[in-house]
Amino acid sequence: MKPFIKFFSSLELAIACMVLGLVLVFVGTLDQVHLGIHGATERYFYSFFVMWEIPNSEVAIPYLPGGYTVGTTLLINLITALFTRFRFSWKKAGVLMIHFGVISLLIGELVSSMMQVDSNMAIDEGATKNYSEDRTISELVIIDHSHSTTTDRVYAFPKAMLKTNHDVRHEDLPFSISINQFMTNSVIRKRDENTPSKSLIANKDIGLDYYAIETPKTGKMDEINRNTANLTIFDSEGNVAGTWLASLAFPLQRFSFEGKDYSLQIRNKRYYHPFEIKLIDFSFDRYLGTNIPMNYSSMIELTNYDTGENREFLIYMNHPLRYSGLTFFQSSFTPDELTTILQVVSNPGRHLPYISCILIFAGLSFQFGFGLITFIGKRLKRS
Amino acid sequence: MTRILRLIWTTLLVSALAFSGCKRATVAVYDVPKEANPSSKPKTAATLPNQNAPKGRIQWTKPDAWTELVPTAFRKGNYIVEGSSGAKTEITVSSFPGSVGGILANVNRWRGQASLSPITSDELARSLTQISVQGQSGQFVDIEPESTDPSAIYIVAAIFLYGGESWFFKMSGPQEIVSTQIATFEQFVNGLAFLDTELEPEAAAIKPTDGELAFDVPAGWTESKGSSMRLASYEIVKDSFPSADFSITSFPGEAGGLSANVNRWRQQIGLPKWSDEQIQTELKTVKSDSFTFALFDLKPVTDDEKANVKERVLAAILKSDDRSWFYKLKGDVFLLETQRNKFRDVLLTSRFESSPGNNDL
Repeated sequence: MKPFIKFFSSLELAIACMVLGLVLVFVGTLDQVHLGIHGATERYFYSFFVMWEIPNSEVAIPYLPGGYTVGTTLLINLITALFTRFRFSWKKAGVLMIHFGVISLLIGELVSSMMQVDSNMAIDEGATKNYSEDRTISELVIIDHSHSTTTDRVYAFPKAMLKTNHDVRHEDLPFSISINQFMTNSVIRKRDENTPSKSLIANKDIGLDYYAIETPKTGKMDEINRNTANLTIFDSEGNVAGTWLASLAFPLQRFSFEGKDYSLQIRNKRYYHPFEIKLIDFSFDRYLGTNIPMNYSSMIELTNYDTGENREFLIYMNHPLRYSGLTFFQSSFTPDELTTILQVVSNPGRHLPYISCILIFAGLSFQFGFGLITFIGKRLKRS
Repeated sequence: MTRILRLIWTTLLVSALAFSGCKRATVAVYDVPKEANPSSKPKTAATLPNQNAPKGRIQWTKPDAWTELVPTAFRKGNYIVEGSSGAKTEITVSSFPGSVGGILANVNRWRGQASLSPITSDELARSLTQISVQGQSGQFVDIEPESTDPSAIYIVAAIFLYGGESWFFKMSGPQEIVSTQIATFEQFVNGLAFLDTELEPEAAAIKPTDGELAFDVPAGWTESKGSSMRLASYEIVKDSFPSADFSITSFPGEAGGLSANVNRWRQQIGLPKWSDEQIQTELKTVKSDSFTFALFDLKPVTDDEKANVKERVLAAILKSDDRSWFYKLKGDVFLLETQRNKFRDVLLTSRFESSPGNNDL
């Protein structure tokens, strides 16, 4: 056990982690040009290893430890050093606080990377919404319109379940869905004489007119991955009901199965909230006589289904609405200025960086202040 | 010390596994109100605004000079015209529910886009022309730039209220191009076709609780602003009492259940919660020709409650297989005593009227 403790508490390991952290930030920042911010974050920081794909093969080998490995190692190093090397005394109370500050910073980032959920709520003026949509995660939904007179039942299959040549099903659905091909990103083309024969298997609805071509995945902020699936629906006896082309670009496609009405769609993952937001007015103010933006703001009315609470809020730049554990930022709008786009962030670890900064600031102030007072005391004594 | 460290490492390892376990994919199943079904939001037969789903759509023909771009989620039509200098003018078609703040608000928004100061409603008339296409009246807006700079933004637009939605046909770009395209734009607008589309089959079928929720409004009750959640909202003002508030709301399912709702209303006026047995004891029923309501009279009873609580709630719940309607009258204890029979009348006269939605916007 001792060699392990010695290794994990060593200063050399801490320095190695910090250097690797610097390298990761440097390389990740450069690669952001190619991968975009999401792509670079996933590849370099939210991973255990940074992989290099050998060209023209599907083999990938790790060539750098990823953010999770470096961060976790540094976390273990700090905790181990705290217990093995540190002997508490008032003189070193500042160092202790700094250690705790850095530890909570690392834990905060881990919690954020694992649990933070970012989504968008696009609302037209006068319209109301009670859900936000994840821009980076999609889902295949089968909607049962015959469920009741007032509600539809939604079966949402997450993207992680949609794999080429895999079947997905739910016990309450009378059919199963076979994913013939899943494309993370694609472009949609109108069917013509050049349409590849494998794309001609779609024989229902939009798939009769269009087909999809797979394109490389993007991680850029201003681009989306157009998830597309070519899927076949089978009844319980294995008979084919039809083959559809579903894509993030397409509207709901309706169909009947055993006398009941359904529709299917690939859409951005939705998060339903126990409240609804109505957009009363969106304003984009400019400095008069110029096109220089002065302010963007959304006047909204929030109604909570559970409590009946009904309030109006003004969300504008740097003044988000914090409600029910969520933060609503004024994020964007459509060019006609009739639709606001709010960024909805849920991050259980959002307080930890503040706590860390306070701890580190207090620790540094104490340590340097203590040193300064000791130094002045010694000088006074000498003189 | 070694034990503590072993414990910490184990905790970190277990946490990492737990985190990775959180991401396992499962099928989510949930119910949502039908989006294009007007019957999911019954309204009073009184004068609430029409919130029915759109029942009309407009078709247009693209002029040859315009290049078509891919429609977006917000642009039903998306076109571009390029000038000889490379400058571009956009022509867009969009529609939004309701009046979207009215014509003045929209014209001032566009004036902002053209870097012009806002105008008043009196000045609006100067940049507005009433037009009629296929018998549908609309407005033509001309927002000419004050500057003679060829790159100054010039906006022309046509606005129609049709099928419960505001339709905007808008051309916006440098005046050197827009001024050459105005005739084409007018031709484009004059060629619009206003179509009636039928409701989806499942929306058109009348079910027992479909249609508009209606009741006879008691004398002395005046309609109040309410909120989008309310199907009906009334205010009762009498003598020097603080005004009482009446509302009807509706939610899918049981909306939290009987106990949760009754106790929420009790807490709103400062009364302690009831146990489930008490709720069953206090529950009274009111039967009309068509429905049976669960009725609760929530008022201070004990001396202590009477000293501290000055409000009272009369609440009734109507349940169907998959939806609940909540009738709630809240106000001063004594004022509500005078309104008890009127509240009862509202319940007894409640009905669903299977009338097709009007198109009166």
